[in-house]
Amino acid sequence: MSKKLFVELVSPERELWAGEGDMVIAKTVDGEIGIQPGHIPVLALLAPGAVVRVLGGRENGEVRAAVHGGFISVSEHNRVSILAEIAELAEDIDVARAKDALTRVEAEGISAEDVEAQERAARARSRLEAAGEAARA
Amino acid sequence: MGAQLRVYRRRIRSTKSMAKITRAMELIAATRITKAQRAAEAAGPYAREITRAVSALASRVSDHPLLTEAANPTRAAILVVTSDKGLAGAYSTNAIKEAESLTQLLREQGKEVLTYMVGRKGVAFYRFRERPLELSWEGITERPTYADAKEVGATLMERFTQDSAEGGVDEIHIVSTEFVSMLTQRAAAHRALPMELEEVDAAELVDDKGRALPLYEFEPSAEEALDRLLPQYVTNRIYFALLESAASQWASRRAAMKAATDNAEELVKNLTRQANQARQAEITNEISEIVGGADALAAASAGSE
Repeated sequence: MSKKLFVELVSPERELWAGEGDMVIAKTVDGEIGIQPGHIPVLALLAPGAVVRVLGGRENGEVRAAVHGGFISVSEHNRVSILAEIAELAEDIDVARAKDALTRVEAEGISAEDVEAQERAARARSRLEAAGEAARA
Repeated sequence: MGAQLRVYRRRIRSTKSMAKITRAMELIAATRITKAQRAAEAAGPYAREITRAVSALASRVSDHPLLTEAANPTRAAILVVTSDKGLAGAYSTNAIKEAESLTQLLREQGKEVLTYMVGRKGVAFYRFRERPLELSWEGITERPTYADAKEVGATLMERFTQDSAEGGVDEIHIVSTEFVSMLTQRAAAHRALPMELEEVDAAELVDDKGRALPLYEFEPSAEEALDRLLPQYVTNRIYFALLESAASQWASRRAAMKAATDNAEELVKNLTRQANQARQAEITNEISEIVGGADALAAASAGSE
């Protein structure tokens, strides 16, 4: 019996992507999580500025998305929902803008106390990572 | 042309151009409803999932501060969603009226009420009566975005998490307009926090095939997950209320403009009749003048012979 995951990528404003996949890889606040068919029900918070990958989501390769401030919920019967307040598919990401944002944040200098700047940097980095551009440290 | 006829013609012209304007507004509103409805539909999956997740969490965590009611609540916040522009029939009035009755009810229960207002019309209503508004947002009601909802939600959550001794609130209510159908919109009040559990458990705790919610494992822990999800849930509720209110607003505007167009057309019909009558009276008058003149001439020439 061929088992597939049914994956939904949802942002508050619309459903970004829904379809079948072989495996979902995401980064939660506790660490990386990989979900294959038959996974037990889990509800996990995603790390800020995470990249979610759905392997086998498309004919060739994977679906990648940058998600910020979201969670992943795996229910029985191989349904996976990824909910995020801000989510973008890799092909929708404006690489130039993300790069620009990252340079700007880094130019201002990220202090340990400035949570907002850190979040901004994390967002920009995850966008670049999802788009397949190497994020400079 | 007689003076009276000229007046009628002028009124017909102006009524007709007015009808053209209201007709255009009606058509615009009709297209906006579909757009607003589509936005509300697109927001559906997220709302459903987050409600399910929060319900699953809430059934596991019982004594979370965001879920339990304060022993003796002293202060409540009301978020009222009205419109930015007028010409929408009783839309804003109904929402304000609903808010008034809720305010009264809460006051009777001995709670202090803080009002948060969305929409220029509601703000104007309160300002004119010199009632205090805690905070207001304008210009977001026609096409609400999630960022708008987030701003509102963050403000309310901050107030909610404050201690009530320091001016925090114990309850958050949302007054918005529900979109029942194209013809019916209903202003209604809901309590957003503390969560009313019975509100969600019946329909949301089972999935689409009628099975109960699975026993989730939580990462990192149910409490921490709830800490982060509840603000998102509240924001989502606000977002949904804004979207639904936007759809209601356009529907109500469409109905109002349709009534205005119909009335204008009726008025034109009546005025046309009156104008015709005036014209006819004028003609009759002229004829009788000519006939009278001819008679007088005939009588004068008959007398001279």
